[in-house]
Amino acid sequence: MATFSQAEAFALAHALIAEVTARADARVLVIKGDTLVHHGLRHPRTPSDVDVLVHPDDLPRFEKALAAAGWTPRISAFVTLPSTHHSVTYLHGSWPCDIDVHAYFPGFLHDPTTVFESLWRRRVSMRRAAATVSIPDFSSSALMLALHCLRSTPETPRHVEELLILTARSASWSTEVADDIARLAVETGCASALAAVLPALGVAVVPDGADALALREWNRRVAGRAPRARIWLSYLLRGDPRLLPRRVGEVFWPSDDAVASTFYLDSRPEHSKLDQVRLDRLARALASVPSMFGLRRRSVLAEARRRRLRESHMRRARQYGRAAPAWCDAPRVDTAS
Amino acid sequence: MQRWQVSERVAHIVVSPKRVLVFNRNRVDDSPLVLQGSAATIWQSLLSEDGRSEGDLVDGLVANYDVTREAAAGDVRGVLAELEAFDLVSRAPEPPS
Repeated sequence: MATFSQAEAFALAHALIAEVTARADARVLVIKGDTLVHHGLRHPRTPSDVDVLVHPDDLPRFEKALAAAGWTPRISAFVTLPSTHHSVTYLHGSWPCDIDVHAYFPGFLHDPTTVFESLWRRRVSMRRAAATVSIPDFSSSALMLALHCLRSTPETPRHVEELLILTARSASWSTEVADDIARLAVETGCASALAAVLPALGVAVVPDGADALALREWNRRVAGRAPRARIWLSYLLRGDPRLLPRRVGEVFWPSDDAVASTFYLDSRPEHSKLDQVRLDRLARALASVPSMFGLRRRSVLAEARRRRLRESHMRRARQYGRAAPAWCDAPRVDTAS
Repeated sequence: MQRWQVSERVAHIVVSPKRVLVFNRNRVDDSPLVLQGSAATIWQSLLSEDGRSEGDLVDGLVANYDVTREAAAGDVRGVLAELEAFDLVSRAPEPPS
């Protein structure tokens, strides 16, 4: 049988999601990916997964329907326990793309149910592969794009570029659009989270009453201070204490299946390869311990990498004819003579 | 002559005139089917609202490929049988005379 490409699978997966959504009678929004292209917020490209945001009440039904269609979670052991993951990736042996099922969207700091219902009220439709899916409206999508990019900036140059494109395009937004985005940012509790970005988009930052602890966690994440060791520790400490030994095993020496699926290894990798991946994970986690306590490792290599990233961001900012916004981590230029 | 049409609830994407992917929403655990060459041409002909007869489909293949009418008829029958087995096409009702 002829195989199909990731781009083809990505397009057709929208039809699959439409069907699974109908069978589960769930409220589901397809987010990111093509929805941003649909609203003219991003250039087209082929993502490796389709992202969906599901109403918290409907999540069990949706996941059950997805499982009935032959899709399995990537790290099944992790999803059975309370964890810090905001999404679970589902895979299918015959489909060369993933489906990322989001329980909530990071950066919207109000209660996930409140946030979803705000986004759901504004939903619009998108046609793909002769099927119709619900997607967030323009304002919701603009906020999601900003949050998504900010969360990984400055580590991912592509997201820096997407944020610059968003900033450039915002110049053509009407006052009504900017006001609508500001209203939604308050309603969903992301105005504070985007305080560094919204002014660059011409959107006023209005107090949103976001939970102070959640905002601090968000800012820490955006500043790149969520080291792997802390994520692991957080996973170990949450959930049923009786299952702690199992969680320790999952975290420090995960099963062959978990390693193979998480790191996209062959179906039957050699033991030496699996062990190498496990040891690399442990080494990276150990290396992140100092930063967990606020001690930053400053190596020559790390500094060089930071400089390269900064220069790259500045080049992109110039390319889009904009001054580098605050989130660009631009070097200060001393203009004093 | 028997007319054929695309079944309800079948999603598809036309990648190019010679490559189409189809997915039956009634059978979500089945993989999408890749149709190439003459099969893709036949599928696109079937997208017509009132379906197509086997003769129409044969005409379409003869117009697009360097094949004899007999070879095209065999191809059409084979593709339709396969698509019907996957519930991707169905026999269209006779149009009112």
